[in-house]
Amino acid sequence: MSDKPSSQAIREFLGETEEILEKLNLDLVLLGDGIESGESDPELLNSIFRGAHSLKGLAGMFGFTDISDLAHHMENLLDRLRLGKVILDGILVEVLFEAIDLLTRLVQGKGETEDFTLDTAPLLDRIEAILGGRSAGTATPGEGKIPQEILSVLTEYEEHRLQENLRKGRNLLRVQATFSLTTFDQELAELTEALKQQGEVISTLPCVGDIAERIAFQILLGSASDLATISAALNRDDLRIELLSAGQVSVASPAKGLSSDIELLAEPLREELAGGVEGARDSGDGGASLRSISRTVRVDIDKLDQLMNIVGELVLSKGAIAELGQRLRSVADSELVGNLQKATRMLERRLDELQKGVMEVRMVPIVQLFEKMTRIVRRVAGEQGKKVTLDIRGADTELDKLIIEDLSDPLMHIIRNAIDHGIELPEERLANGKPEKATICLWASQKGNHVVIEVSDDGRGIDPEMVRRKAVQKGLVAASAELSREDVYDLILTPGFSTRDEVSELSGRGVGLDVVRNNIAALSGMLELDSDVGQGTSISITLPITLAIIKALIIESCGRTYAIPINSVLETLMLEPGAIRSIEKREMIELRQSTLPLLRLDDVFRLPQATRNGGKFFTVVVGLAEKRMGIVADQLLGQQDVVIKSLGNTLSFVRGIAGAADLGNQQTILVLDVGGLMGEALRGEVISLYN
Amino acid sequence: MAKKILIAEDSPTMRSLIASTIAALGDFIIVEAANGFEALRILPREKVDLVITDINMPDINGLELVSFIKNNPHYRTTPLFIISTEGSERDRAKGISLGADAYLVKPFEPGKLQELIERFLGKEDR
Repeated sequence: MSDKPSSQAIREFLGETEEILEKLNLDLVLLGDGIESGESDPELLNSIFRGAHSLKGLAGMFGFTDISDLAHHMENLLDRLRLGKVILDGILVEVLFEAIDLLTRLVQGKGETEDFTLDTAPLLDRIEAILGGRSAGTATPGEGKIPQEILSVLTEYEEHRLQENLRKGRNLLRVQATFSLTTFDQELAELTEALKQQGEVISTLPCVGDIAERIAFQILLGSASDLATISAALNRDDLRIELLSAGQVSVASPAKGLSSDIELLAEPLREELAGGVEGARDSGDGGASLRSISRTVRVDIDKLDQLMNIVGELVLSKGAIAELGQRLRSVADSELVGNLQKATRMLERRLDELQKGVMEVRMVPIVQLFEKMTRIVRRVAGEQGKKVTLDIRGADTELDKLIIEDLSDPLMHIIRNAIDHGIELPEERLANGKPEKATICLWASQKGNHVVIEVSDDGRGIDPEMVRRKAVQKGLVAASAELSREDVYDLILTPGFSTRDEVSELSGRGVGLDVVRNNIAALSGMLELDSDVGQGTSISITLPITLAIIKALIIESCGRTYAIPINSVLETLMLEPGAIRSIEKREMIELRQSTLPLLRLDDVFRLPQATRNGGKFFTVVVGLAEKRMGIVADQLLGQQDVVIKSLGNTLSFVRGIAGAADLGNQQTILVLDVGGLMGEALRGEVISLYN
Repeated sequence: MAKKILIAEDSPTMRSLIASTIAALGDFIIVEAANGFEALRILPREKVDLVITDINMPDINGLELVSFIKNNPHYRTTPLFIISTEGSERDRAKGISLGADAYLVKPFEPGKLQELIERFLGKEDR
């Protein structure tokens, strides 16, 4: 290896450290949750320690001393924590979060240029202060009857866990098992899971054996249950369980009486749990989590994009071939043409599978984004002296990785906004008869080809009167204007509107909800707002699952061709011109006892009206969330897969257009942004977007 | 025939750094294990000439792997190095007393690892 690491090595470093930092973030949130209960899961703590430890080692190899120093300090702190030498509290967790923040910035900086650095000294000093200041005392070692062969292989941490278990008066047991060499990791994982129901697995030691095809393990278990109970619960005859050291809780102590009661109560539950493990084994996926560790491949998102583009181009080529086949058939209906069509259909099926496969790879659960929000809630609420719980649901909902990335800023803004403007101070909440601690719900769910993300709070809500006054003051509406609920919400989403006079340090920054709405629209999504004064506000975001390849309805209107994402199309109708009614200068049609507003693309895009066709016309009924609208078309040209390409930054101001697509015959058409068009149309501002 | 080296290390970046350090030295076959379990699985299958292991691994720790190898008549004579991030002095002492042949601290110097490999496996004909 040369002295200077290759750029490939640096890329690997960046990828792995980012992964470690993400995991650390998630784990720290969990650790923080444990402060209130005063309990921290040793396994969790150890996982965090290992994360910092790995970072230190990795950064050291690349000579990134700032990262390795900081990680080293973190590691020291965590080591003291897991060895019980420092107490877990809010300050400590906050310092750890800050350390991860700084590490993340450092790693990102190194990604740009390797010389990048930041001042870590203040944070290092704070960690030093915690390390020097508080001490929870050292655990006293007492080796008891633990065989030397076991003691000699325990790391310092495992020794500490052993002592902790002894200190708590738990029994120490040795479980021995022998497994086949080909399946031992799965079998061991199952056994470990079952043992964890009984207590803490302190260490797993592979044993020396002379049989080539089998391997033996000794597992050190700390448990409050006795040997007979554990044997009965495990109910396996392939194990040897022995008691190494009996717990020291005396029979006379009341604590014992209490704990054995709990024991009795817990027993049936335990058995159920053990049964669950059994079930998992039957289905054969018991060891899956273990295996996946080494079966994951990290892939650059650009590479996935490239792959997706190629798939997209292939889909277009297939379309072209299919069309040629059709045309050939009308010219010469031979056996050859039939075979060509069969082959095309086969190609189509395979391409479908390929497309689905590549699409699936891009999908990631939204959990990481949500966890990030947990941190923001914690920080912003803390800074403002507000108490907030975040209620997360549907975190396993999957979305395209790129959408998730672009969703981060808008979502962060919405949440900051909710805490900043919506949530009241604890005193105010109590005075209003609300619980002191506010709740922000962050729920995700999949609805067909869309994902809906709802952010709702139980804060003070939006006061329509205040919004009206502000709007009048800013000259956005006339003083005499009557405003409906929808009008009020639209005002809030209007550029330049803010109900707060001073720009808040947090959510202010001159960025309003209008920007959030535009960001969501850029993802072909739609944002809706609802609020009750005194009850809270809810914002719901509807997004397509993926942006890469979509099925589209191709329409012709006024001599121009457009694509409408099929996701949003509910139905198409053919109508006589007489069906159109006009209400307050807006065109509507009657559809199943309700009125459907019509949208003419020549109005929207200010096309010459002379091209309007006077006869029968088509209406494409589109819907997003609960809203409906009809788009007028002269012709429906059919369905097609299209790859949406962005119009680029220079054209990003164009509203109503989601992007451009290639139809496969060198013809480029515009893809309509249904969410954006609908927002405009329903506000009645559709006379033209470009006045 | 090229000598075979097993690297047990949970960090992929660290694995490839170690692997490239070895590759720069000559023609070796490198077998990678992402955790202790994989190492246990590989050992009886491949005739390994040298084991390089980390201490902090998720399933079984490096010390346990050292103990397993050094107490097993099949592998006892196989040289074994520990490469671990500077940890507690006790972990290091334990590693050596369990029979590890060398202990390197991360960030390790490539030259030092190469020197150790040459000492234990002999110089490769290049």
